[in-house]
Amino acid sequence: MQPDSTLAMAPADLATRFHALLDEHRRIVFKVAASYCRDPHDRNDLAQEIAAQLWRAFPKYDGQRTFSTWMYRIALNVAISFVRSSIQHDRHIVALDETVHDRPAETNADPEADERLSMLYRCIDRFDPLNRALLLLYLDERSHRDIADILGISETNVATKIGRLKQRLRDEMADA
Amino acid sequence: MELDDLKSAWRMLDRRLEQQSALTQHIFRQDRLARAQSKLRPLYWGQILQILFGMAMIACGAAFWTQHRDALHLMVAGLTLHVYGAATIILAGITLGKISRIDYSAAVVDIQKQLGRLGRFYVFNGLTVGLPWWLLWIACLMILATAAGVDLYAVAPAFVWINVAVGIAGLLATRWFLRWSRGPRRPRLTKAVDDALVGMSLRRAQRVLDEIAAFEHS
Repeated sequence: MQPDSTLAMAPADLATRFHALLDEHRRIVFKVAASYCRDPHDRNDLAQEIAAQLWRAFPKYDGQRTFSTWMYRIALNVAISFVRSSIQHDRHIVALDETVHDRPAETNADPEADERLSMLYRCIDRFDPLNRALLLLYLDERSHRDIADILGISETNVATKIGRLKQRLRDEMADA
Repeated sequence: MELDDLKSAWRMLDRRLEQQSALTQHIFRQDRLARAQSKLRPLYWGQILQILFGMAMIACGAAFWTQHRDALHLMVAGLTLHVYGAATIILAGITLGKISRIDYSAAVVDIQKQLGRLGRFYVFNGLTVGLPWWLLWIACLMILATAAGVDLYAVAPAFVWINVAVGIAGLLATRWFLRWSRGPRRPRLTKAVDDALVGMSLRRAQRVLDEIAAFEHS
């Protein structure tokens, strides 16, 4: 669903529209929060902060832009600032066993899947906040154009960086 | 584990997160969205307080120097406080302007740069507001003494001049020490001084800017 411009919307319509779009694209919020925070409480706080910033920015959202791209920009900006704040910085590095809490109650125990997730988290944790954003967008299979738009760098630069990112991932996985 | 495995783990994470209905409800609550605190909020209120402090300084200084135009030293003391108050308001206003211009929907690199610059300006603001107190306390003391019926400069000019000299020396020494301590040969001292005098903020802001520059150009 691609929204029209929100500039002329009545407040009630704006809230309804926002909730519908947030619901549709909520996985972006979850994935960004999961990539930047291991501690479940921090993750919830970050998801909340992202949603709040989205809500604040929504009245100025330009319907001509792709909503998911706009959402990624805000989510990543908030997440990077969040992990850089000193208080959170100390809290977001926790034991990898915390990832076990990600498992919803209805999911059967799957040690192999858990191990893969742990490996994924270990991989993500090796990157600084900006490169982590690039990794997240790469894993999410966003186009180079989208990544360039979200991060604010050229498409050529994105291609170069992704090439290096893949090489680094291969090297690290070979060493693991 | 290959790159494809990593992507499949990512998709698995995606599916698991999708099932977390509790988190969905948590972030969707309208009242929570409205109440959520921005990380920049304390900085915002700090600048408001700085503006109020600057206004108090202006009120004090202006009321004093306009009443003592006949005595140069008293007028200078009042004017010093007045100018200092105006400077603190201007710096707080610029900081607030920088905060208000941060639009999280802009590109990541642009916003992170803006936040880094904001952090650096905030440290500059703190130093500019803090360091003049090497001298300002003398002006404040002269104003308080005058309010108590004593012209400090008339009674003890040497006390005032000695402390002005000490203040200027202190100010210059602080400035020199800050520059000297940041020399490339003294990384441990740089860190210690940053932590003690400038705080972690400047180092963090500078690190963010360096990180962005490295990210853009690598």
